Amino acid sequence: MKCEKVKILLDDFVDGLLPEAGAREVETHLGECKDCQDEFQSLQALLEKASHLPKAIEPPRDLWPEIETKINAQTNAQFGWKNLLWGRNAGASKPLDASEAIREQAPSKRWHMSPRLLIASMIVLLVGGYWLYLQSHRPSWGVENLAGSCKVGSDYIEKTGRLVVGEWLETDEISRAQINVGMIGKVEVEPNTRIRLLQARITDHRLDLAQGKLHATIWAPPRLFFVETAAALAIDLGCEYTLQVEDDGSGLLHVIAGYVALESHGRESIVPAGALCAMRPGIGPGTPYSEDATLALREALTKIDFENGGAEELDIVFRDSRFADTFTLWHLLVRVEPALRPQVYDRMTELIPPPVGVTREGVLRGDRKMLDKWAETFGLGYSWWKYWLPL
Amino acid sequence: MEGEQATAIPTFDLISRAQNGDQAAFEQLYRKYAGRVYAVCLRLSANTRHAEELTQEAFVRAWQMLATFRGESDFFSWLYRLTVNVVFTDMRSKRRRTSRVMTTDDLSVFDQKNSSGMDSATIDLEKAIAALPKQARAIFVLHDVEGYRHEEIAGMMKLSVGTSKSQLHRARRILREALEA
Repeated sequence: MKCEKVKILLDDFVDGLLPEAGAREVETHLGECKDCQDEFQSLQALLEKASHLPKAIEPPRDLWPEIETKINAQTNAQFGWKNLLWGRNAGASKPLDASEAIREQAPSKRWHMSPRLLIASMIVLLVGGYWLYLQSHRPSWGVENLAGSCKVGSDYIEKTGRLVVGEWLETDEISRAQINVGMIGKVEVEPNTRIRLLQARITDHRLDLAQGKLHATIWAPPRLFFVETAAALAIDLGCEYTLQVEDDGSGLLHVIAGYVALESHGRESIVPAGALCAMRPGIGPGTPYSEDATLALREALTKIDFENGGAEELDIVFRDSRFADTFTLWHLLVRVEPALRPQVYDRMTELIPPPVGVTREGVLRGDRKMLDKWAETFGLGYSWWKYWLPL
Repeated sequence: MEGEQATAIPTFDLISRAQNGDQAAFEQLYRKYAGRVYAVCLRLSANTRHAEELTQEAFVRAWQMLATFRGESDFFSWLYRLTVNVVFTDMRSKRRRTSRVMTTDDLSVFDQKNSSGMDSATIDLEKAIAALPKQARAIFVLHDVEGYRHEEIAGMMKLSVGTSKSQLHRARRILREALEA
């Protein structure tokens, strides 16, 4: 038996979980190999120490008074409800000890429900029944547990479950889940994520990503799948992407295939495959950039987008931009101050000349058709999904 | 759990009285088992204040659930299972996840124990356990300190047996490296 195999089996060996033949092989090897023998002794020493850890550690303070208070509060709350339900003296102010409360639970002398309470209870039952009916008919998407145990609503699911409109799905450090987005795609939910189903209509598949990370794969026409975040609305344009939202609401979109639009606060970013786009709450989406853009270019964009950066940062962008970064410059054309736009236009023309019909004057005044026409020449193919009308 | 019978003699009278609503009897049960419940809460959470809250929660839950204890098993085994469930439920909770951050101060509890008889090797091991990743720490504590089997741990933590074994292997390796460094 080789050392690598022995080292793998060593845990089961010391725990007595190996079959007899396997244990004999490990024993033989340990007799011949000093390295493995050392490993074995180190493991045994650890387990020896662990077995001597104290079984009890006294709490640093007496916890009983708080436990007693909580128990009494619960007991009295239960008793109070019983008074209300069974028509006893609800105004008793003396707190009960647990034995009194438990005696109160004795099954005798209970049927004293007042007529008014009976009617009220029936109304509650009817309303509750109708509410349950509505709940059971709310649209939902299927959820599959991929690792650990994710929480849907108030329940943890083992294998599969349903995420109803309005419900949250939560994963912890070790759990992952997959949401089946109706008939149009799937969303893998990464650990430490909190996400809610907002709409499950045929024309509006919508999630709310409060925190964490998702990986969406959508095979539907554009503008049928949306993810709302604190910073921006992500609109699927037929694609695969990851979207991450931090505790402070800031986020990062990374498009793997196709295109995604980000919209918020009057800003719109079109993010193609192989590009990323940051976003901030209260500001909206930043300028998208290629995943192989230089660090200096990314930092300059962060300053322009979120920290009032200007000409100095723009120079860095011009210096580091290549043909593959044309879409970044195209976004900047309408984002930077009007006085800086001619410089952006000039740098863009160096990388890709504008097509016939697209003029300097028109671009600088923000002519939408001209901007879209220019975008089509470097593959942003903007207009067809812009005007796509879903079912 | 192995070894349980030796340490905790079931106090049937106390349990029976507590089941009938006698809080004084339940307090005696608390006095008897608080150290063991707190120890597991502390080792699983690696946070002293959090361990106090979990200990309280475990005893409150035990009071609520006392009627379900039928005496088929040892009382402490029942209480221990309940405590572990309380801790794991808490670990899964989003609120706890975001608000609980272990600090190095939390490990000082083990230094304080020095005066009450822990040797330095034990303190080193406690600190190394507290510094383990959460899942590996839980599995090491349950398996190597408390004596649970992988099948039981997998059931409690909703994991596969294979994951339990690999996390135990990881925990043991990290601990050996930490103690031999």
